[in-house]
Amino acid sequence: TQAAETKLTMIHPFPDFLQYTKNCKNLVAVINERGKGVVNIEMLPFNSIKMFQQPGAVSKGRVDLVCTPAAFYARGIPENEAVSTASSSAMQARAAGGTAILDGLHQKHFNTKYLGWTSSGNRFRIYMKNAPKFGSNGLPDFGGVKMRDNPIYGAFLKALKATTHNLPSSAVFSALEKGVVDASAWATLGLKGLKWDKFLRHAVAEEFYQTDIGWMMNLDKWKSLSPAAQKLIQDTVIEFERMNYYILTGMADGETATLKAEGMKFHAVPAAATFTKMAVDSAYARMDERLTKAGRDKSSIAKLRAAFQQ
Amino acid sequence: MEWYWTLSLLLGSILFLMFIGLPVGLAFILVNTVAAVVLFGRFGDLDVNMLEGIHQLTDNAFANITIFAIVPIPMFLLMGEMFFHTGLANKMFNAVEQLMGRVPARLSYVTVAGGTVFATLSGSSMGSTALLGTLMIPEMSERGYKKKMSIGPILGTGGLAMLIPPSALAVLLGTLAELDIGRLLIAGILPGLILAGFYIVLIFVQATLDKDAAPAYDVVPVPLATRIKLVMTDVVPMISVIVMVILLIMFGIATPSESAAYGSLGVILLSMIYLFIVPLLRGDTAAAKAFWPQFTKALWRSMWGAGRVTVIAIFILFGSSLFSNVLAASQASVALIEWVTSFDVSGYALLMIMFGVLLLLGMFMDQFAMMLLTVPIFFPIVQGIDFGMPMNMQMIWFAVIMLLAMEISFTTPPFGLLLFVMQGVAPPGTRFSEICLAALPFMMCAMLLVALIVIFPSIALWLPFFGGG
Amino acid sequence: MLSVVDRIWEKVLWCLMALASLYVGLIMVAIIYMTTSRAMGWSYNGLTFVFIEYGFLYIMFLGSPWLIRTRSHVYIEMLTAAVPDPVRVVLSRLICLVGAIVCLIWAWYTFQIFLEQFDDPMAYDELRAQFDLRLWVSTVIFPIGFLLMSIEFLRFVFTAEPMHTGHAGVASDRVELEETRRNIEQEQSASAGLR
Ligand code: NA
Ligand code: NA
Repeated sequence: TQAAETKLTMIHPFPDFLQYTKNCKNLVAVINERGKGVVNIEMLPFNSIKMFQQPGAVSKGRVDLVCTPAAFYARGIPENEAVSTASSSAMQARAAGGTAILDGLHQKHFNTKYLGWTSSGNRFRIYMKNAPKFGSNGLPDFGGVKMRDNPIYGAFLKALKATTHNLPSSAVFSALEKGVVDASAWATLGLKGLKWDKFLRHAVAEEFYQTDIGWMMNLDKWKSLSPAAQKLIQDTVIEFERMNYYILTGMADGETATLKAEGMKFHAVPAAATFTKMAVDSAYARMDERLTKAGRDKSSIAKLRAAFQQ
Repeated sequence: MEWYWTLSLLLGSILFLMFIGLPVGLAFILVNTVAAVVLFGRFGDLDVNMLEGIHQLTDNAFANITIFAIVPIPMFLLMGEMFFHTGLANKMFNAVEQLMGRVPARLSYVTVAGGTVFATLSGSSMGSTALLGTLMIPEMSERGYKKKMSIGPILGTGGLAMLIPPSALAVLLGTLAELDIGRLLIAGILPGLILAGFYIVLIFVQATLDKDAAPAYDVVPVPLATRIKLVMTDVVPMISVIVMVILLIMFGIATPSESAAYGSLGVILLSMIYLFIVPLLRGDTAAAKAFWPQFTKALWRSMWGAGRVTVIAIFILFGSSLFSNVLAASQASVALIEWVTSFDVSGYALLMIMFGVLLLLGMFMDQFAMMLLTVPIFFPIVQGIDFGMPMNMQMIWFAVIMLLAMEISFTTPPFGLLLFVMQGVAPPGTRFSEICLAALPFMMCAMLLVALIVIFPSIALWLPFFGGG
Repeated sequence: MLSVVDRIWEKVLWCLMALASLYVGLIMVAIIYMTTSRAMGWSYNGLTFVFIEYGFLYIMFLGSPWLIRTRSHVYIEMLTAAVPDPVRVVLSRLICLVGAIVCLIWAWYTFQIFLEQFDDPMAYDELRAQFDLRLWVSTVIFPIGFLLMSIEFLRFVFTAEPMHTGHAGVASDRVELEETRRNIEQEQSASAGLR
């Protein structure tokens, strides 16, 4: 006899118009289409649960699934910053066993199944009102620059002498207009949508990190699924890791080309390798420190770095 | 359950609990709790379901309440309270009255002007109504003014205060709806001036038609030199605090949320000058000595007053912001938006409906709760309508209309929080119908302004978008 | 005896409300410190931001019990003003009983949540990850605040004069008005004395 269709609920952190939400909904649509009679995912509307509270809700099983940035629960799983700071693509990271290590950590420490990293291909850049200055060491010198802060790259920016300021992204536009801040890091994709390029006319060309949105599911719920349903969901997520990589790289390249065509100046970093290494080192140092403090096993750090920094 | 049943059940139980007299914040909390246990409690055991439901609400409340966007509430309150408790607000009132000389019904004009300033600064039309009602009505009655000449203008000032920057409520609306707050503040200026013009005409007509409404009486004429001195000492300094707050926002030194903190600092400095430095320079050591106890008392009372209303507001915010999450999680609000926008009615009809809903809510809700409840529903609806203007302009335009609607709803008979407040402060023997009748013409002015803004959006949009979007 | 305890208890709640008011003043100072630093290009302690944002939760829970006692929260006296006095008294006590139960339930479960977060070494404020703030720091005020609120609602179940006085309008405004009136009278007599 045919078992009843399993109903799953899912939450997502960003408003519907963002590409990340569209990618997430496309993946849901494909699973629902292929999974007719087996599994069906219902997306709860934006703002059903506050964005930083979503990973916890899935861990507890109040909701089954979430597509969320790994950084949103990086205090729960410090190793998550391997994804946030990656230079590899999702396919490279998976082939090298990095995704499997992360999944193991999710299962052991967070009661969730890590299904995949569905937003690789979109990296970060520092955008500025004025042209960046470079020191004799070949690195940008952000002394006197009023930079918008962020928990992931804040330490890195401070190491380059920037003064950082906390602002929600919705307040950045007017803050730029009035000169409350005059620089911000942002993904290579999405600056134009926010219209920040009206004020930010310079960019540090060297890119770093990646958008780190991935899928995870409550572990108890995952275990209760039929093997067929498990395979369907896991395979589709892996398929979309690749597809989204090409979608996002394409869009990011397109937007970069537009920004250049519209006259944004891209400034190459003389010591580019040191610049990116600094960015990654600051994150791994923090990861190590947090794991030490919590008395947790640190053996995955080197393996993760090898897989996510190719 | 169909979404409309879910929606009716959620809204109906909130309204019922409010109606029977449960504190507004607690009515939200109770309904949220039941809804969250149903939505997120999927664990079989009631105790676990309760724990997980309340855990989810606690997480959300933490995220909803610990946000910088709440800063305008305590800061604008603090600034207004300081103006009042240091006696600077009163000083300006008296000065303005003297300056006007022998204009008929001048106390009515003074009330409009002073009330607008005070309500603007305190950001609370309830507080301002209470204050003005207590201060002005007895004084005006003593001079033979009819009640409609005192009560009407007081109730009318709330609408002005909401439009003329800085307006705490506009800042809050801008924050909740993620609008360009600077633009929204500037958008209120022209409509505010037009409304003030309407009020002046209205008072003039009322005083002309009914000569007994505001009897003329002789005043000692004030010589020009004294007038100029009055302006310089008692009017310019107070206005300069307001101007400073606006300039800080415009030059990007402070965000709109932060600006009121500087406003409070400005009032502190002004009161030091008025109550300490000036007497000292005049050699009035007794007055200078009295400064410190007077000043600390004013400071403490201001913090207490601001703290009190802040707690009240955050308690309501606690419940109503959780309600917007629960409403989303129940899928009812999304379904409602889809349903409403699926109709082939004109955008203007939808505008009318939303206006009506605000008027209805204004019967028993304060503006803050109204915004929290309606912003997540109304703004997406407006985003889906084409009024033939760029979307960022349309949002600001709608926000101005919404601000006015909320203020009108506060004062429309038969129910309106401001009417109740006025009943509380008005001299004994004032009938409720008198208050309603006095309010009506002023509310008609505000309605007329809304109609004008709907027909000619440039009234609101010309200034903020001067030189392009 | 009971009235002595009640009076001391009232003082305790007053002190908590006073703390909340003081916090509002400190927020003003914090904003001026932060904004001035930013405008001057100086660096400032990022925890100032946290102090302000966490403050709103603390202010609410510290002040709320006192405001229940003084009938200052917003509630609508429409029904309670319309019904005869004996009905009003029973209705008001029932409403306060409901309030007490809801708050007690929240106090109990948020206490469980606090314990859980206190024991979990990885439970941090993820939004402000750079500051290393344990989650229980914000949660601990929930059970305390709700317990005090529950006690205050319960008190009104037994007081001679119930919470709802039956005056049309909004109760909190009446309190505010009386305060305003008193302050104005004091001010007028004070300034009359000065002159
Ligand atoms: Na205003
Ligand atoms: Na009304």
